[in-house]
Amino acid sequence: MRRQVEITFYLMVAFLVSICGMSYELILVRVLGSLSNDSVTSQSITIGTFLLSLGIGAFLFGKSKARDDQQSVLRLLIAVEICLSVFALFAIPSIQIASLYVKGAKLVVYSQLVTLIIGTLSGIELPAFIELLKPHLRKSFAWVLAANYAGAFAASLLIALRLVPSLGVITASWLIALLSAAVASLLFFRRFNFSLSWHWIGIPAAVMLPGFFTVNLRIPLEQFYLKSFYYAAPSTFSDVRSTLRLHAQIPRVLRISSPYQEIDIVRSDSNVFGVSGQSVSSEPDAFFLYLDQKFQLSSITEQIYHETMVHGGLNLAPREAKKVLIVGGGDGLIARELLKYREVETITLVELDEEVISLANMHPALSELTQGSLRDSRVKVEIADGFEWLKRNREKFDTIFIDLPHPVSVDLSRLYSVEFYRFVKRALEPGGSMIFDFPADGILKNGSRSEQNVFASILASLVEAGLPHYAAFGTWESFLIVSSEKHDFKFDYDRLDQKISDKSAFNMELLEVKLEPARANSIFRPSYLRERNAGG
Amino acid sequence: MMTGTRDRLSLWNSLIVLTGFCSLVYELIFAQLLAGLLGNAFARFATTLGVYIVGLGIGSILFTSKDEPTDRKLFFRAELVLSALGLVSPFLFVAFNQVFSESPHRDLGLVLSTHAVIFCVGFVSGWELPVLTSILSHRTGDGESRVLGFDYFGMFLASVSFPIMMVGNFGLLTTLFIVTFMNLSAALATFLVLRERTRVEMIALLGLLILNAAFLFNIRHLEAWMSLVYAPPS
Repeated sequence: MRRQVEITFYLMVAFLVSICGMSYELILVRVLGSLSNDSVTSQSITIGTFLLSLGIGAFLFGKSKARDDQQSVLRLLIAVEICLSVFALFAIPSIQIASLYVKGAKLVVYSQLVTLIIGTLSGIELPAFIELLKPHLRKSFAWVLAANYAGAFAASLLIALRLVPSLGVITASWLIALLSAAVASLLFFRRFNFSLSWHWIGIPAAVMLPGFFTVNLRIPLEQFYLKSFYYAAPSTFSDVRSTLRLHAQIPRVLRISSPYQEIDIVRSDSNVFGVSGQSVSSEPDAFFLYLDQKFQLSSITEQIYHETMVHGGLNLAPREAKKVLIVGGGDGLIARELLKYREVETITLVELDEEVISLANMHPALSELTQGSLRDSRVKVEIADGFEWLKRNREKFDTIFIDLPHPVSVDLSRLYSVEFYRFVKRALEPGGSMIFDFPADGILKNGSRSEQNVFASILASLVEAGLPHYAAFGTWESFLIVSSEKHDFKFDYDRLDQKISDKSAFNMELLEVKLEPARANSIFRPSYLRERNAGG
Repeated sequence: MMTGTRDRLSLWNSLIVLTGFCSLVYELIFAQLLAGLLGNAFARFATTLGVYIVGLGIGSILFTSKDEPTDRKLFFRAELVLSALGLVSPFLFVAFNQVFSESPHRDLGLVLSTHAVIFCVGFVSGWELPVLTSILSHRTGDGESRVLGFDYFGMFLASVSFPIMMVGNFGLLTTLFIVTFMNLSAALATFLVLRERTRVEMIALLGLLILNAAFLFNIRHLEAWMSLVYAPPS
């Protein structure tokens, strides 16, 4: 009976421990994927390093003298769990802060060091449990492996479907660190044969206490990171104090973590606190919207952007816009411009992230810009994945506006694929057109080879999907209008004047697009469109 | 006689590296492919890894060793089944998408069916390692840790070469069919050292090799065809 309890106890702990191991791996993969430009490579390398360090951990355990004696194995495991717990508290925040100072390959190296440490510690666990169970269980190898696999599976569901989407990577990693600490205390009690004398409680409590306190530090830590990212980071250690004083004067960066992305609203209150990557604003209450720390929208320049896109686009479009579809554009600003046209009858807006819609409706500064467009009777908002929605869609539209972030991740690349564009074409009435953000000006003149390749690939995907006729327009903020039928795109400047501001009027010019031919981007042959981080 | 044994030993060792390599590449390819077909790359990555690992686990536990010739035959068959599954999987994914496209339980059905395929691949992969372990332990006494070490090494190689292969413009399907080809080569190598060979097995092996080569030579057509089935033009 005693033996049964012992076996069950160790198997249960092994199960918990492998949940931690797999969770650490997944969280590390996620953090690196979002911080680097090439998530496929960084994810791959992280897995490889983690596996390698698991092997190293197992190897080290095999060589250590602790394996000879049950009590020392137990002690080793407790030490490993405590180290993991403490290290995990700092691991993810340290990678984030490191990303402020080092980029590219150096960041990968640093984060793989973190991975190596966590992996090696985790690697000790499995053989240690096998050793602990050997005297009690005949096929201890198989049983421990089974607990390990079960834990890994549980972790993959837990992390992917619950913890990371709702809590974000830092809080998720701290919860797992807490779990490691709990495991350490369980093992601790076992070591002393479950006797509950006073001081023994103190030690595991002391381990869990840092976890608890650090949860309280989450917001200050987050604000430090965000303000360093968007405004100024301390350049040396001695700089930290003065930078913190500076940060205290900067208004809070509003960060909303939705299941899909991090939404940041960054203010620029005066000339002194310019936002990194943006020109210094003399307008009070200017603010900027970032998605996953990539620039999306500036309250100063959004007017030119949206006026050009909507009024320029509709002016060039061959077909009158009665039924319009917007994919993305949850900020409601395209809708705002569209509503100025009486002939527009319905606007269907498909946005993935409900948080963006809430912000557009309720955030004081953003809703002022939006002017309640999303609540207009002509607008129908659907919360859905753009790709899936278009795939199922059977309606046809006169004009389709696509307002999505640039394809910097695997998820976004999907929305610039041949398959997606075929769905778009299917959703267009004959002679209908699609308009989307296409930074022709920046890319064609100043862009790197890889940036040019991204957009060349998008063009190739459009052509292959049956949308080969296009024109680029907009000298400062540029867009592409695309249609399946041949059309001579020309501005009708007489019709244009009334609805736009002077600033935008200067933007309404056709551009020539000359790019080296590239391969189309398909789900079955992704070209992994990626883009260099601009600023920040 | 001695040389023969030593050569065979390094054959089995390199097979361990190869199976570790192929395991991880399968998993990474499925994660990417399903990210494209189903969306939400991170969740796909995690669920494919989880299901694959469960398959690995159940596969490895269900294996019981008998004797060396039976083990080798089992390994040969496992490699055949694995390659066949690998060759057929992308078509299955697209087919599932067609089957479930109009159904109300579309998302659940798609996720379950695609992950069932991944589970099977994991399950068969799970056989590989214990079989190789037991073959090696028939020869040397040293089973587990050596095998694990080589296996991890194979996986590490995979993690480094996968992005190179993908970023190096091979494409998802080409990489998949290269890996299935590697499994078939392992099957071939094993076939040549088997004591009893049946005609059926030889035909199966040759058939799969020819199919695999055919896929590789017509890869661009296959990609275009799958794209058209998945997203038909209006």
